[in-house]
Amino acid sequence: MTELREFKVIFDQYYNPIKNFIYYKVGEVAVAEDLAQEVFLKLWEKRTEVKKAMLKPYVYTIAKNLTINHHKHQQVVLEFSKKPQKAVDGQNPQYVLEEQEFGNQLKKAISTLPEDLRIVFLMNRIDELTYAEIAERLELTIKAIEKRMQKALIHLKETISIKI
Amino acid sequence: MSDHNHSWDTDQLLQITQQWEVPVSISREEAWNSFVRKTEQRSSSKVISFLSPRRYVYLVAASLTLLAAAYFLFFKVGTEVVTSASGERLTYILPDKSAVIMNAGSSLEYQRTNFSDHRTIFLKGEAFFDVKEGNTFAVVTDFGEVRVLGTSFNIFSRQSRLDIACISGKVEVVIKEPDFTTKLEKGQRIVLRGGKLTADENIDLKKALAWQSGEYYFDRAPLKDVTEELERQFKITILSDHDFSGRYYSGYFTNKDLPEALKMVFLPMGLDYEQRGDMVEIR
Repeated sequence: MTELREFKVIFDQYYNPIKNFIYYKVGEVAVAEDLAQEVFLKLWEKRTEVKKAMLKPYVYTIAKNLTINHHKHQQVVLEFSKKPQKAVDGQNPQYVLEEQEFGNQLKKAISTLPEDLRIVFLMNRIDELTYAEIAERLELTIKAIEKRMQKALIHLKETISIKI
Repeated sequence: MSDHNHSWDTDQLLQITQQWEVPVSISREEAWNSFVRKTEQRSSSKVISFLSPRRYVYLVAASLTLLAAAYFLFFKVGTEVVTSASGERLTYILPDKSAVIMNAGSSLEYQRTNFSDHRTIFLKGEAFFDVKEGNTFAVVTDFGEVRVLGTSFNIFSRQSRLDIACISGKVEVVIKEPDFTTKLEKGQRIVLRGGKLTADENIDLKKALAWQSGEYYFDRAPLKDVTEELERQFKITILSDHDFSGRYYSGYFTNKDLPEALKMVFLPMGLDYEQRGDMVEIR
């Protein structure tokens, strides 16, 4: 089905950011992966109705709607793994340990962020989307994204400094 | 943090988070495959049902004098036809929960009424059956039929070729011409071509089912079979003045990339070709 082949391009482009977006909301990997497939099934059903220009926000709207009924468990700390890195020689073991400890504190702090700040922060840091990209996907202004980023950073730094 | 108090600034915070990713339990490719299976299962439009509500009402309204005729009609209209188009694979669950995966350009037909008691499927094309235990399950083709109780097998029946591979359990094969009955066990295959039967033992089960993931393996297969498979998988037409009879191909292609597949088939055969849209001409 050539249509399916064309759809694969969209799937490949949006699967990871959409699955991650849901993960930032619900905090469970398996749930995020299941719901991400549901998002694309919905999109597939509507493929003839959706205009190309509206595709980006539309995919996120479907994802938002699908997660509405799925409440995030309280106290879930979002887990993140490290992207494969080139090994750095001669790194100070003390620093590596501290970085690890800082990472753990950071994960806890991120999980205490209000959801709207957390999503923007993680879309920028993990999915490496620009403010303009995030603004388009969430149908917000770039200014609003900048503000949320700033607030998120302030919240994170405050939360961590209290704990140290 | 310890006595060695390192203060963390915004840059480091940003740098560390950029090195993170969301943990995964399945890859994107696996997610895609699962998505495709779900679209196939949900594409009810592929299933043509002859027992529409309106017809049913019509039957109820039929007068008593027409009852005999209506009774006959009822069985006729209980026929379910499932077809998969060129370039498309379709997974279909039968009423008894047996699963069928149909390759491109195949069709099957069965009676929905009392299906669990009379499990008979008419098949044209190629399909893999995973049969739930129960009464005899028969797949009837133009050349012969396969009967099983509960097992899985692959069956290919097109033009002049019937190819049956037993994947698990045991199956009974009944061929019309020549009149021949045999039993196949796991890993055994029987091929009928032009009235001639050949049997294989210990076939590679993975390769026999590879078409389900879009991979096609050939072992000394007539070139004509290979070009026909290309046509079905890519919805193309292959034009040629060559006589392919007596030419055999051993190799492999996938249905993901047409130029690559053409290269994989025609290059080793020493054939020049030109692709123009949906047409491929062999020179």
